[in-house]
Amino acid sequence: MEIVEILLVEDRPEDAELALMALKENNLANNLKWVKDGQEALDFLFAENEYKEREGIKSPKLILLDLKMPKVDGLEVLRKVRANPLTKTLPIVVLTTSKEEQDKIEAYKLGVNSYIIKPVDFDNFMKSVKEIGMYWLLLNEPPL
Amino acid sequence: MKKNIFKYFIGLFLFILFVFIDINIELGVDFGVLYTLLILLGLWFKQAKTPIILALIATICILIGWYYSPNNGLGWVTTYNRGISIFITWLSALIIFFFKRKHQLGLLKKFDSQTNALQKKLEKTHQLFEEAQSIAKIGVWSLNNLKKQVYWSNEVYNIHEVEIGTEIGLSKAINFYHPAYQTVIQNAIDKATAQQTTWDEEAILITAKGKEIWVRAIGYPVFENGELKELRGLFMDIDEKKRTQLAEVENKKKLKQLNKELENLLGDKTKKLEQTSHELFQYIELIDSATIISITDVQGTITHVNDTFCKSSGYSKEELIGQNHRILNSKKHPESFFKGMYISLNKGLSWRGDICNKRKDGSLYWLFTFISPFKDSSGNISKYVSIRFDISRLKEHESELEKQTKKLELINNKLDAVNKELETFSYSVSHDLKAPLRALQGFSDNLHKKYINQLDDTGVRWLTFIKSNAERMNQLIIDILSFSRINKKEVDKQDIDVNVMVKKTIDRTKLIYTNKLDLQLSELPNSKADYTMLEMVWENLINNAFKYSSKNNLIRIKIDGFKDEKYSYYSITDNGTGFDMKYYDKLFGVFQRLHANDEYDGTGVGLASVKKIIEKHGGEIKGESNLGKGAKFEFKLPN
Repeated sequence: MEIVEILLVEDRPEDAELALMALKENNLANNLKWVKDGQEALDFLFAENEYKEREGIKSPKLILLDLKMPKVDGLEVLRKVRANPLTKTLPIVVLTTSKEEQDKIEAYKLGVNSYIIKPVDFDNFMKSVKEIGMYWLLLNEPPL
Repeated sequence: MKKNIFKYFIGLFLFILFVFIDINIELGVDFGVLYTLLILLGLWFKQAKTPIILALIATICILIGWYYSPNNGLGWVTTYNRGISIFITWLSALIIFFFKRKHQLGLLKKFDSQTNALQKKLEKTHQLFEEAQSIAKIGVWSLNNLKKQVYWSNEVYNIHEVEIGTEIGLSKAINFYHPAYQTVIQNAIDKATAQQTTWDEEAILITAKGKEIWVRAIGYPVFENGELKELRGLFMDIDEKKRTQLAEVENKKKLKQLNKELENLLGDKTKKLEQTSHELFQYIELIDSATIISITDVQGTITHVNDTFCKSSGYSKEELIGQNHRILNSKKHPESFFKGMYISLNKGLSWRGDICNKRKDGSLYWLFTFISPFKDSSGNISKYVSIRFDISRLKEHESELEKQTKKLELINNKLDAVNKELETFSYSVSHDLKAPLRALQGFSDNLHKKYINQLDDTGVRWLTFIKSNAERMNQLIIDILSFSRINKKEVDKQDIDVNVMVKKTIDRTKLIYTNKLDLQLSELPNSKADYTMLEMVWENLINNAFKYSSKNNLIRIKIDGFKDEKYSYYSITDNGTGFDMKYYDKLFGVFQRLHANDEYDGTGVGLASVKKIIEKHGGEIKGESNLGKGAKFEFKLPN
């Protein structure tokens, strides 16, 4: 079972690839897991369904969470993760296209660590992701 | 008697004397005269035949005298004299006899006529007596004690309705009485007979004709020489009187009974009245404490106010009574308002309305007022009574409501304006976006066509990303536009043949799909709807049915419908992947998707549009599904 340092929750493959590329440039993408929707994210974190074997394995250092996803959306994932004592302290960074004030307030209420709006232009997007990775994986001390 | 004996004695004496004289004395010629004198005695006696008897005795005496008397004179003279004496004696006797007879006859006649007269009188008296009895309905009766004969006067017969003169015996007489009274009468008779008492009894008699009548029998014993000779009495028909009396008694009894019943009834009524009155008092108390009450006379001067009035107006009772309601005038109402009220009231009609009054301290308050004229027993208006409720709060709410309504109107107007802006905006934006999008799609397509062979895997992948995202943008723009258009467009309801529409849509859609198709289409009822919008509904639903079933070998779609008085109902069922009912609330959400984009294409606007259209028509839509087994959508549209 491989150690996952970053869990990328993103439904659009384009955005996922771009994020991956940005992280790779800084050698931060070695232990990255990409899941396509909220349900899969939860299954991964709580070692359920197809991720049953992950039981007991250490949680990732960072979760990059998109909000607008089908089925279980980002806020729901956030809520569930923060509700569980095992995962309560996991660093979560919302990376979303939503500029909705409401989403931001809700996310912070639910205890998100950071809320980033995806830059529209590619350059800035790459830069942001790089900075996020650098900060949360290298600079920040993870709780667990 | 004594006189008679005396007469006889004298007579006898005289005869004996004369015979003695005759025998002893020579009387000679005149001698016969003596005996004639004796005849005159006959006058003394009443009987007419007495002189005859005397004549006879005288003759015998003369003859005796002739035999025994001393002869003086010639023999033939004596005989002659004696013969003449006898002759004269008999002559005078006869004369006296006839004379007496005549007298007696005369007396008899007189006596007869007297008797006749008396008899007539008696008869008349008797008649009158009978008449009197008849009129008074009183009869007389008697019972002879020795002979046991019963005598009844005519009236008694009449009362008994028995033929006058019928023989009546004692037992028969008693039997006429009603069995209940026979003993009484018998006892009375016995007692009277034995103890010399009288009786006066009322009894019921049954007449010969069977009529039952009340009679009064009075009886008393009559004695002669200390012995009971007979019982006598009166017999009265007292039927009328008695019945009247009995009736009176009965009536008195009935009256007493009635009185008692009346008393009871009165008692009940009084009790009920008391109850009602008690209840009424409670009502009055309730009304008095709960409402504002005032009473004015016909001029409008206040004669009575209750405490609630004083509390509400701020004036005391003394300050109000004797005043006109004008002191409470707030000047908020025009004169015509009160005029209308007075006119109504003067006509004898009740009036109700909202009045704004002014308190003693100057503050204003609203009263829901109900004024009713009260009439006296002759029908004239005697006073006006009003009941009021403080509705100041209500009025506040009313004005608040007005303000809010005005605000809402403003907001509505603003909203309309904003909506319009939005529409214009989304239209122009999407319109303006179309141009660059066209370039994007166009050139990426061409890039793909011309340079695909010169690209490595990553390049191909990235180019595909570009094309698919451009296409997605395109679709999004289209969807945004169409969704916004639903809002804008007015529903133009027409009668639509749904079968035709559905068939057309299916024919169009199935072209894209290569799967085997099992289509179950039943007869669908018509819809009353906007044509374009309804088309959109079926497009979306049918598209979805195909799209989400496209992973199967066989696409099975079933479309049903029926109609009742109010709605037309439709349903569409597919055998596709379905959806998780857990996320039902997102099913019809705008831009909400229950499937990943790489699984099934879609912008999440389809069902949202469908729902919006159906609801705009006044209908409803719902969906259900078993994940992996297909989905069913049902909706109804009003007729």
